[in-house]
Amino acid sequence: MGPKAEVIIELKNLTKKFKIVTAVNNLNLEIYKGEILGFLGPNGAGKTTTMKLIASLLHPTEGEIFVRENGKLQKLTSHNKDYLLDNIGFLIENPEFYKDRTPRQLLTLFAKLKGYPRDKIEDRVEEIIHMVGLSQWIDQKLGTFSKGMRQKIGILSALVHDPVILVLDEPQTGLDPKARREIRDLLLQLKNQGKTIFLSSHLLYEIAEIADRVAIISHGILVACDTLENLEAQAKSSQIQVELLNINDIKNTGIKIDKLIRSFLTDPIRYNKDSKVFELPFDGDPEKQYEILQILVENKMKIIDFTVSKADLLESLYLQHISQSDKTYKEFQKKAIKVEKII
Amino acid sequence: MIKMEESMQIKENIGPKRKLQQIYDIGYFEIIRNFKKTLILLIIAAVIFILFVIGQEYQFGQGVELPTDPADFALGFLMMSIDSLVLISATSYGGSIIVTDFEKLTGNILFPKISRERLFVGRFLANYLMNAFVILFYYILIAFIVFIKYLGIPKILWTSLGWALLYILLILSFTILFSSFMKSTAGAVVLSLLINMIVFPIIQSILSVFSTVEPLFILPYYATIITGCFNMPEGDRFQTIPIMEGLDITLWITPSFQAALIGTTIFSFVFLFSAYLIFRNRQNK
Repeated sequence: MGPKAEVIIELKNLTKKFKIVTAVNNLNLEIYKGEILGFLGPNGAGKTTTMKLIASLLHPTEGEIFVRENGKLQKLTSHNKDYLLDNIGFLIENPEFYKDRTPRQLLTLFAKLKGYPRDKIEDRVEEIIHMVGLSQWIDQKLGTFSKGMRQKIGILSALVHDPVILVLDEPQTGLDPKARREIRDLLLQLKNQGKTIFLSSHLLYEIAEIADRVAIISHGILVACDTLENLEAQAKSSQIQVELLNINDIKNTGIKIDKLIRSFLTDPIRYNKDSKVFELPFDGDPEKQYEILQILVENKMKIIDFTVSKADLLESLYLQHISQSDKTYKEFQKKAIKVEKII
Repeated sequence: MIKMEESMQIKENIGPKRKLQQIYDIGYFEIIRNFKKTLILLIIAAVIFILFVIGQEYQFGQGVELPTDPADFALGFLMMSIDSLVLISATSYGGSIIVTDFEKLTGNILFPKISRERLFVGRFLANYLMNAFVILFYYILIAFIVFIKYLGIPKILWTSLGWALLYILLILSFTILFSSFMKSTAGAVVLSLLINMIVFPIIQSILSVFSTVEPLFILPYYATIITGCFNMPEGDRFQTIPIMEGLDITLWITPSFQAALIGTTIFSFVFLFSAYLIFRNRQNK
């Protein structure tokens, strides 16, 4: 997102404490109009709490939330929450619905509750059901639906009143690869329709594939928030995956590649037996990436694949940030215990 | 996708109008969702009524005479059945009102479309109305048979209906309180039934021996006014029966109109308000 992108939700110094536990700690985050912002973090990091705070299901201990309405960022309060939250559709992690009701009945209820024009509800429900390919299921009881289908209905329940922003908490968790791909495609479709999506997930691949930016939270603290490319540049760490045609001698091939491009590498070359690719760790500079490719081609290496995997990159960045955060947190805890003992 | 002007139309539909509309929508959905339950309870009411009619017709066949007062005839239908019918219907409706969201994760609690208070009010009103409809149906059946036998319906029957509707409020509120903290609908229903059918009557029996205090804190005691109103204001409200020398038991027959009205209202309010507070603070699993 460029510097002129319009902020649609702003979290300012947001803190939520549950007795002695600080679930969200001084969180500052801006969500831009039309982007998909991936929200990553280990279990208990504060992702769901943050989303609950946006949904006004929890009240912040400190800090403020702003939502754009009528061209202005307006502070979310108990007085205007109905009004401002109409702009947002929320989805729980694992939606369950009344098993004896149909998607038509349920989505109609949700659209009514959100004040969608009554004369247009029927068309709207049919339109969105069609969008996810469940038209023939519209009048079937939800108890007969697979988990993936229920998850789609969950997303539709967040979407039925046509909000500008979608806040989705782990919409792909527990789904099979086919269903995950369908949800991913749906999210991209929604982005193309102009929706802003704030998406939390454990599935780094899913985030890497669709997110414009990623925010990483650990122990309630935002440890990183940027585009993947910028995070990569900041971390000065990336990895090229090279697949060669017909490798007879892995060891000697590895030594040969190492000799050719040693000056560009940040770590020794590795060979991944499972994916049968050489992994070349470098600092992520695209110029260097190009030079590495050029050298390998000039030396007649039979390259059939040369990629920097977004998912692998995100995983490495994620682990790097989380482990750094864990270390800081442990040090902080040690100090806190010492202070407590002294007191 | 809706256009900008339609989006503005959505924005206009907020405030008290939207809140009332949401309560109506959730109530309507609840009524549709509980259609089968209502149907079953109507069938139960009809079966109870038919069994009584068969029993009475058999007695008339044996030479027992039809009461001269239609109110006495109507009272016969209510004496043995109305408190149980209210108890069964009120617990079956009230048991699921809150706990269902936590038990089945219906999507209403996390990231909801409606605030908890409106969800609570909508569901309570819908369930009360359905419950009242079942009891009204039973009274209509009684009125129908009374009309056939006497070509008229005593007004006291409708007074009794009023007390029955108030008693529904009491039992429904009591069950909703259990629904607010229990882990399952079945648990809330069973516990409410057990307390009303076993625990309260035992306490009342013990108290009748050791105390002459009117048991206004025993919920089933308020059910007695549904039939007790037929004999009021002339009838006794309690009887003292000597069971051995120096030991009497005090049997309270029915509360006074004022006590019944104030008691049911206060208890219902306390139960409902407590249930709402627990519901508001209850976290999803």
